[in-house]
Amino acid sequence: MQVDGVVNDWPNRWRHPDVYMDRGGPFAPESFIGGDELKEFIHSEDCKILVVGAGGLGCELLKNLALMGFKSIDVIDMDTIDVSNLNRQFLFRYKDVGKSKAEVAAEFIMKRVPGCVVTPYFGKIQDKDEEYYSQFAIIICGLDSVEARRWMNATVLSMYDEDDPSTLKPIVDGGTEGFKGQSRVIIPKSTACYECSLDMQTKPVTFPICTIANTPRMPEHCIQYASILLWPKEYPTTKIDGDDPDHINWLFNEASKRAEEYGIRGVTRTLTMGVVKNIIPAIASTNAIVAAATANEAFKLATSCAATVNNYMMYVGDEGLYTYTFPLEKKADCPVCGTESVKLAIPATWKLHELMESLLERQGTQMKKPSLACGDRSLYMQGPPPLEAATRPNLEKLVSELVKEGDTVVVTDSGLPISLKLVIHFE
Amino acid sequence: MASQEGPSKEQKYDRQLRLWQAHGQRALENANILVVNACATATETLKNLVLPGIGSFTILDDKVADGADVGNNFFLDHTAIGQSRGKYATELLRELNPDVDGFHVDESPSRVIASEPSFFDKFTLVIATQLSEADVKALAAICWERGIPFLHVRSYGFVGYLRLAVKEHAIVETHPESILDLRLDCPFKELTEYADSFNLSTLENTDFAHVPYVVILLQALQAWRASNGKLPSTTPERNAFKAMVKSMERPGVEDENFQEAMKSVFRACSATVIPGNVASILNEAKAMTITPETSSFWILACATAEFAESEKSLPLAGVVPDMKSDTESFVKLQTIYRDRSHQDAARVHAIAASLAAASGATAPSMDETARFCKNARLLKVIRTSSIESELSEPCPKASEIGQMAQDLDSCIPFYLLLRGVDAFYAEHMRYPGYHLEEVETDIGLLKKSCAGVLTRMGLAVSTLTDDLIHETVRAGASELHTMASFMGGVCSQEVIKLITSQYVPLNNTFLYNGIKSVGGSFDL
Repeated sequence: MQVDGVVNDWPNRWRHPDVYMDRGGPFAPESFIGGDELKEFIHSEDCKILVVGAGGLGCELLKNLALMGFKSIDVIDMDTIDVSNLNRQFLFRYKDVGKSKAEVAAEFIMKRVPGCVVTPYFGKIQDKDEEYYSQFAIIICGLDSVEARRWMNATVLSMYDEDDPSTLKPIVDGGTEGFKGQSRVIIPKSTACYECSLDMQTKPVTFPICTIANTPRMPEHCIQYASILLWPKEYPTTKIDGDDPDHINWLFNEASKRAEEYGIRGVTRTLTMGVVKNIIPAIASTNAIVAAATANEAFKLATSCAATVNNYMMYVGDEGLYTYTFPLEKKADCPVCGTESVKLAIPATWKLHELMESLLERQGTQMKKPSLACGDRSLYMQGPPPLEAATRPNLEKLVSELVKEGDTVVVTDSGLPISLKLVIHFE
Repeated sequence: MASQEGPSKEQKYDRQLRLWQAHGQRALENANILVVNACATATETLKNLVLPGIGSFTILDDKVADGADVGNNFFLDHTAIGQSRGKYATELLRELNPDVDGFHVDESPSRVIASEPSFFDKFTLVIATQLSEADVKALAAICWERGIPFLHVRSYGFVGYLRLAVKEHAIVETHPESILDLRLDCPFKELTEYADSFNLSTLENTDFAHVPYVVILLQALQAWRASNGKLPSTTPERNAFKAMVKSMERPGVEDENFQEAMKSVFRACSATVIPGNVASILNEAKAMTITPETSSFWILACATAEFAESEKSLPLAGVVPDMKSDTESFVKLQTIYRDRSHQDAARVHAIAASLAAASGATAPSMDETARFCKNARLLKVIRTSSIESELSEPCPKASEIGQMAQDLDSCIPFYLLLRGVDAFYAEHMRYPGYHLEEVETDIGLLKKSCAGVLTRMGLAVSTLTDDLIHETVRAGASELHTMASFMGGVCSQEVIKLITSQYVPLNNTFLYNGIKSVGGSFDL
């Protein structure tokens, strides 16, 4: 059978997914219309799917989608292949180390699954605009970063115009950590969005600077001493690159010296890398589970052959085997999909910098570099430098000098396409 | 960047070594597993075992691949149509990881199961899929008799099923979030001496703020005992003890260490005991006769039982969690706990060595002993029911199953449906609804098969609704790739836990409803 170049579906090729597209059943939603038209739709460019991330989840997702009959898929990833990816990112081989993940993954899928067209983009999600994202029927995220997810979520939700159903793009999102993972469906305006549930994220472990500087006890404290305090002194102009073995060696040596000085055991190269790069353990099996659950939702969304998950499923595999499926609730004051503004009561004695610090602490928003404005007045701007300098004196002023009771302060963060509206009340 | 000789295993496997360490990886690399039938669920399972570097795998499969097989299987390509399914799958799976050996045996699984049970002897673990109920039963019995863990996995439409049958699986490292074994209620001599060396009233404020909470609680308990004679046990006593700790604080001094102490008051008041399930493992070990075949787990359990008998406690874990303290006090405290745990482990090791020597068994290594002692409070032995007992009639768990089936969200009806499907297959030699034109008639036929199964199990025929039966016929034995990949992921994860003897595997059945994306684990 000659398949190269020409797209030939061999007899029975799609037997397994076709069963569900040919037949209705008691559990198919009322909107389900089975038959040839549906099958053609799944194979067509009208049912184009975007996979964000070509890593552990992305590789699995591309395979799953291609074998379920989706033939038009885009994949975006800004990363290149690292040796430590090979234990799970099965579309990559040792010879591919250093190459673009998106490009190698796309090529592999097209070779193994003839007729499937995967278009890679080796770059950032932020490089693409609304017009690009509007061409997809479903957007699937297999990402390892909270920021990228927030950006994708906010972008896709902002594209939705309630008067134009074609602008509604469901997001299916997956994530893993060790033996645990989760998969969820986000339907703009009808389910909770990613931002609604931001406070579910576990905060990365941080150690107080005074412990690191003065009373180290754990090997992690010694490693952070090397990376947070020593490195900037020694190399003020170079940022640490966790993938550069010379950087890791230097940090490991310095951390070992400090550990020896204080009699602390357990500084190893592996731990040094883990702390510096904030490595999360990742294995093939969990990736497979989460990506399959995620692609399964995409198939049900695209075909309506069965209901979709309502709306969050978590999988815990380290102690026995446990799944929990539940609906995450929408937040009325969500900065992305909510309709209400956030009411914030603060002490009347607070200065602007104290308000800023409380925003940085806020688990539900996770701002990194917030800029604040009230109406058309800038209260504090992170940039550009002249504006920053002009607004800096405000940080020492009382908030009550700058805004009135009940005023709305708009908080923006350059890294996120979100603005948070805070209605200020003084206690 | 890429050199000819390939990457080091430390680099390549870094992200998994952080979960199961070098000794877990070694166990994986020494394993030799068998997979029966190379359908998508099987190859997806294998993918997740070949990638992390399992020693070797064998596929037992004599099927000739057809268009549908290639359509849903990533480890077959269109050139495999009309060729041996197992052979092609083995090649494409091997290509994933040069560290792994892969073999194909081109024989009928039914025939091998029926006539060559010794074929299975050499495998660490056996995984089967797409077998008839009779073959599953026979293969499970072969594995059970040989003590080989057996997993039966299937993806049927939107339903996923995994059953583990293992006679005995012992786990030392369950990997809880933290191990806590501080012995505050029964401090050993060195620990008491260390706590006594602090004179809280004379310390400078900075030093006072850096006294480890363990020392604070030990001193408080000592004072309490001096006036009350025993641990605070009733609620009023505990509250009084709490107030006493609180009164030791120094006003105006940073109190992070006291906050930590307050959080641990409850723990300090509870007696260090041997947890019930560990006690029964130790009792079992005591009653055991050690032979050359006894595993190091049981030799160590036996040694630990002897240790516990004389010491009235388990060997010390030797782990101190981070706490507010200056470096010197903390390191000293850590050293005290560690030294004691080393002494305990050395004693257990000596007992184990003499037990092994007396019976011709291999003595556990010091590393192994140290891990065992560190985790002694967390030991776990899993014994699942056998598939033979599960399939016996009437079903021994019928009343529980009937109860669970009442719950609308329960996955248990899918278990009953799959048994109905197997009965249908045994009666008609085909799967219900395989062809579109059979759907209508097969609904009635499957209903009959299900009624038969339910009756034989001892359950009401009404346990399964018509809608569920109709939906099962709709599935037409399709193996959706997403479901195959999901169940392959689930199955391989359990295999890794079993082979590394780390983390806790399923006991014993997992069902997944891919329509609602709801799963459930059951002891059947």
